[in-house]
Amino acid sequence: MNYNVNYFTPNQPILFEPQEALTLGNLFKNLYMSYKGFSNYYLQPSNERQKALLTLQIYEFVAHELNLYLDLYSDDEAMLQLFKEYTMKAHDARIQFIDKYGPIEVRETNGMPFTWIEGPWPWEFQ
Amino acid sequence: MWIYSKKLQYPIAIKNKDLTMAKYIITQFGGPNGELAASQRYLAQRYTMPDDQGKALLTDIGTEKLAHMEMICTIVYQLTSDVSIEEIKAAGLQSYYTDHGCGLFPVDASGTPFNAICFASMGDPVADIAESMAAEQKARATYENLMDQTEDPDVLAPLSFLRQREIVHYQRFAELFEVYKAKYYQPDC
Repeated sequence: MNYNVNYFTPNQPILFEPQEALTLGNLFKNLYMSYKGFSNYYLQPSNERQKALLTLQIYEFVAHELNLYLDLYSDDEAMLQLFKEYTMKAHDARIQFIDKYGPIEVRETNGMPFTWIEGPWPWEFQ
Repeated sequence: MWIYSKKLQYPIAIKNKDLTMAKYIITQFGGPNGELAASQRYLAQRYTMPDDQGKALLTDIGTEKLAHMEMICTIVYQLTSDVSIEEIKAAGLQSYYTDHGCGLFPVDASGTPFNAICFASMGDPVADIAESMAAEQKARATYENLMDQTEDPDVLAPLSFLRQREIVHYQRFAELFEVYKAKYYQPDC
């Protein structure tokens, strides 16, 4: 028996700006729900390293949100285009970060000594 | 396979120690509605999903949950860094300290160790996604209960972020559930 069900197409999503999306934990305005008025916490990097990392976190978050959306709506051209755009932005932000501060993934380790092992590790007030 | 990315999904920098909050927040590491349970539940359920959408969604959300487990452990680590024995005693954490020191060990808020029963994998797409939807709502409610107990913005910010992720994940699972219900939860199908 084939019910021939199609994945229903949602209304075209309305998106938060990238920085606000990471701040809130949600790219999609129509899905956002605050709790007891607590919603926005402005992320303030305290040094250049944190600033470069935050840029990467912002673009990777947007790309990831679009990834989850596209898992279900793989033929949404506009969102796929946006996914490509933010994947590129994340790629560029990543290059900028690792050039100055060392590898994010072990394969990005260059030169001597083996800088992969150097902190701060993510839990160490990175 | 997985490749480690040496950064958090969302920045965490907690300035003030708070052992009491650490004692409760650790439930999102080792409790039944926590991130360890969530990651392993989805990464176990994905094998028997009937289509590519389901396999992709459970893989990608399961992977994100691993990053959330890292965030929870980071919060607990930072809340408990450089604590004294006196502070441990004052927070009633002697039992934990005796068995685990200041190491990260998965327990719930009352100290009960992690139990794999909460992986809850049934091999049935309707049952599994319904379970996943409930799991997201239980995690959201847990984050709200935790947010009720602190006023520290350094702690509230990541808790609020993680709570919001449950809302997005719930929505994606709910969308997949509607499709599976129409396909697989019908007379004689």
